[in-house]
Amino acid sequence: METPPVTDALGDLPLVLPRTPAGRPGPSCGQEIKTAGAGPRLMGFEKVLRCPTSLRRGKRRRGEPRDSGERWQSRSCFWTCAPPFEESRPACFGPTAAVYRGIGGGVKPQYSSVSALAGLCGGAPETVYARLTRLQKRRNTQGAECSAMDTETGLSTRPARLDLGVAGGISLISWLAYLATLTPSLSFVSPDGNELATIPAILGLAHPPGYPLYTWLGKLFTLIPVGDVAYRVNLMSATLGALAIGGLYLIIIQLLPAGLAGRRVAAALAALIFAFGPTVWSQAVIAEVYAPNLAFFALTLLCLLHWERTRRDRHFFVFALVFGLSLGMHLSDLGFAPAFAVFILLTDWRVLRRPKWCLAGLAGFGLGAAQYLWIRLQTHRVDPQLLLGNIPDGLTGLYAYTLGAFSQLKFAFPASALPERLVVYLYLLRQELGRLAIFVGVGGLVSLLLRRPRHYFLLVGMYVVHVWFFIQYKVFDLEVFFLPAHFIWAVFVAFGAAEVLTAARKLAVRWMPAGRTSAVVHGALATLVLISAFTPLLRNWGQADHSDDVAINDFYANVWEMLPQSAGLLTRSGVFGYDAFYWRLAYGTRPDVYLPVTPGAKAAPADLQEQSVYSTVGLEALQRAASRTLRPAGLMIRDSWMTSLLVGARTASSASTTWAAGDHLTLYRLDSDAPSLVVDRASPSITIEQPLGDVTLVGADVSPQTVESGGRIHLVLYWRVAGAQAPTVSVGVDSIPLERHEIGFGNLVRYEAEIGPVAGRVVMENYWLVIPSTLAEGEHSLTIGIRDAKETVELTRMTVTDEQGRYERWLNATG
Amino acid sequence: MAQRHWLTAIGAVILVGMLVCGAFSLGVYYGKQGFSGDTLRTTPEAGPLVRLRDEFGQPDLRGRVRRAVPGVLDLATSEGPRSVEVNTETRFLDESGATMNVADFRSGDLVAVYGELNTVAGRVFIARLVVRLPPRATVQP
Repeated sequence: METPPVTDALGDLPLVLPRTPAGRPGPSCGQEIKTAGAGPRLMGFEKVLRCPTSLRRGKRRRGEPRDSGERWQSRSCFWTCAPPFEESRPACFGPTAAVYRGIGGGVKPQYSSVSALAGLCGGAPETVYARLTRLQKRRNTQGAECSAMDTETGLSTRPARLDLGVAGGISLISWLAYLATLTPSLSFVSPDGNELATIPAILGLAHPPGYPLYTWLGKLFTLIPVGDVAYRVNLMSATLGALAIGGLYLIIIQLLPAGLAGRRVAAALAALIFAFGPTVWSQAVIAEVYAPNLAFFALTLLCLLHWERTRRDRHFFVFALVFGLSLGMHLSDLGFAPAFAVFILLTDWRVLRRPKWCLAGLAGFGLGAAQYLWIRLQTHRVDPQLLLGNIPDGLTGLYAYTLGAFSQLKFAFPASALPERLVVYLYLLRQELGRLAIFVGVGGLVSLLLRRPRHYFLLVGMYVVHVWFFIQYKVFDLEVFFLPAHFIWAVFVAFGAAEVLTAARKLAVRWMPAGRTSAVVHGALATLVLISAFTPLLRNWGQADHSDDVAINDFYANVWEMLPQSAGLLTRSGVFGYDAFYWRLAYGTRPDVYLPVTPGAKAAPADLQEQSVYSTVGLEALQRAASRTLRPAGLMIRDSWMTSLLVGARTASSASTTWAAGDHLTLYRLDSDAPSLVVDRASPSITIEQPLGDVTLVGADVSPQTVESGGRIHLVLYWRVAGAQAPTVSVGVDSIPLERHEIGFGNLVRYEAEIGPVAGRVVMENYWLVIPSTLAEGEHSLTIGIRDAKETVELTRMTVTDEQGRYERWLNATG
Repeated sequence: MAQRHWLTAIGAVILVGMLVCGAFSLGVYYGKQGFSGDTLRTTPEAGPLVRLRDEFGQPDLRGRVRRAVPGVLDLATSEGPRSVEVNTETRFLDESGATMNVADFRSGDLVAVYGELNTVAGRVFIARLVVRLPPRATVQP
């Protein structure tokens, strides 16, 4: 056998590649490669070459006769080299392949020696050789052959330490931004966030489907000694959301082939754009399941990719376990199962023939999903208002509470509506990641298909099922349900961005001299891209900032102070009632106050007969069918007067929501007698006599002049009105509205009908106004005006102090 | 290698299918709505809210109708697209206060909605009353 000596262009161990007697090109499978000179034998390569290789020279296939002078190229199916890989080495094909190229008449390999690979990878030759040998041995032990893997570029790549560091950095940046904009405690803007902030603290049962894992993790976070209980659960959203962003980066970096330039830049770009999208950010700053769900979604994918590389049954078990656990964050993750199955079979269809692996998968998934059996144990803690008519008792009840919940929302649109629903999804995608991301993502899909076909089927399978399901889901705020789909689209965006960067780099290399200039251009481009990744951070900061969302806490801290002993308090029921239930359930606040619709409370009319009854719900809502409130049967409210005692203040973030008209920030007292609305003679301490539209502000009494931030001031306003249809007025601080109410708080019409005319008379409003705990210390102007009118009148100047921190004040209110 | 070719081919078919679905949907949507700006989000117009507030109070939601079918009212609001559940108890009124049906609503109608979020999970908005506003809104004084 001829062994023409050749010299490795890069390594210091020349490689001898003999020709085979059959004239087949280069080293063939099973052929031993000997080195000439000192150094380890390339036994590792020999074993690598045992795997079926894909020989390719342009369109030539393996086995075709090779003429002298032709180039041949073989590609091993073996790839994990000693990290780290340096992207600055243009010839390195990265960790996914060891490539060498031979030219007819003499083989001139490029990276064909262990030392060459070691030189590329930055490791010692001995280390590379040992690792190759070890990994090959493991593969042979596992019985995993390369045939299933060889037909594509390669497996996902184990992240380098540098990538772990970058992921950590991106997570940290995200976490800091979320922390800075985190809701301080209970949220005004989240429909069911306050329930989800309370339930973990008491290990209770949330609304269907129950969210067991969320509850348990939340319980752990409530043990962190910072802020109050609700803040700690909000912190969980921020922390897990940030981890999800780091996980996204790691997923992308494992999928992007090393041959693509700027892969770290592209991955970081996609992760940061996703991190600071409006919906992701909005969910990371409140107590909700969506941000934690993203973390487990990312973890599931990472576990799957890890199994793909190692092919060990215990890693398969871990993946299945994590997948099962993720269902405790959001049951819709179950829709990813078909895509996982397809990917697993494409990776190694022999999984079906290995009972050990099948058992591992089923056991792991079963163990994770078994968390829902905990719901069955919590039946006694269920809020009756949340039952949907089903008690999670027995398998049927358990199904109805979990998979069967909200069935009326699923597939709620006819086929004719689907095109428009898909447009809604595209609109939401554009809102989240930007218009450019849609186009770049489409390009990324093509790149993913060509470079990672198996992973394409995984991600596209997950994506299509998820989008298809939720475009037919009839909910008010659909955007939060598409977060996993946006997560996947970010991966596509990363692929598209990497292709763009690769093309840009090729142009730069072509048009500019090699060496330093190319590196400068590369670095400048990378910097530009990363700067643009922070554009969503700046654009969405204002909207996402909920750090001043203190309305609920400030209001209820004052409610508990004002309520007399043994009063009754009617509140909203169900998830909305947790504005009030939180205090009782998490802290045991005011156990003397009777809350009829608190979970577990048994309301009886006799309980409220002798008590003063208060309400945070308006009369009209109380009188309506009990869709939002529940009052004890027999409690007569039809003839009751609702006197406003305390009005909460809205801040910027709470004022931006359209969830409700905000009547739940008012404390009413139910009286059988009419309030003293009209006075014969007004003698305010502050005389104003200012016409405002159709009414005249006669004067006001304001006390005290010095108020603690988060406390309350007493207002008595005197109005001369033209009739019972009085306008809405706005009371604010420094002309920023804090609260709006109709003059008379909705009682004027009834007063005129039952007591006497009000036109031309002086109407007196007597109530307390909450001063937000976000108000800075110092002197402020208390203003009043007609709603939406620019003109305001200064009532008085007041001094705000902040001797107590807001958490101290709130926690003091809990008793 | 053969497997990879098959995967690529099937994947290409799926990709083309996705693009076709997206393009078709956009075509259907813009065919109905036209290309006049962002029709999934609308700036809240003042409308004749003085009369509304006097009679019904502050509306919980305002927007333009995108689609009205029994059971669901799809709106374009200042917060983007929103779906509102309507049922047999929902009242529909036109500009003059006369009763109407959900099927009488047309795409682009300006409406004010009164209702509440579902108690159970808060993700479903159940309309109690839907009032169609005049097409040309008057500016609130």
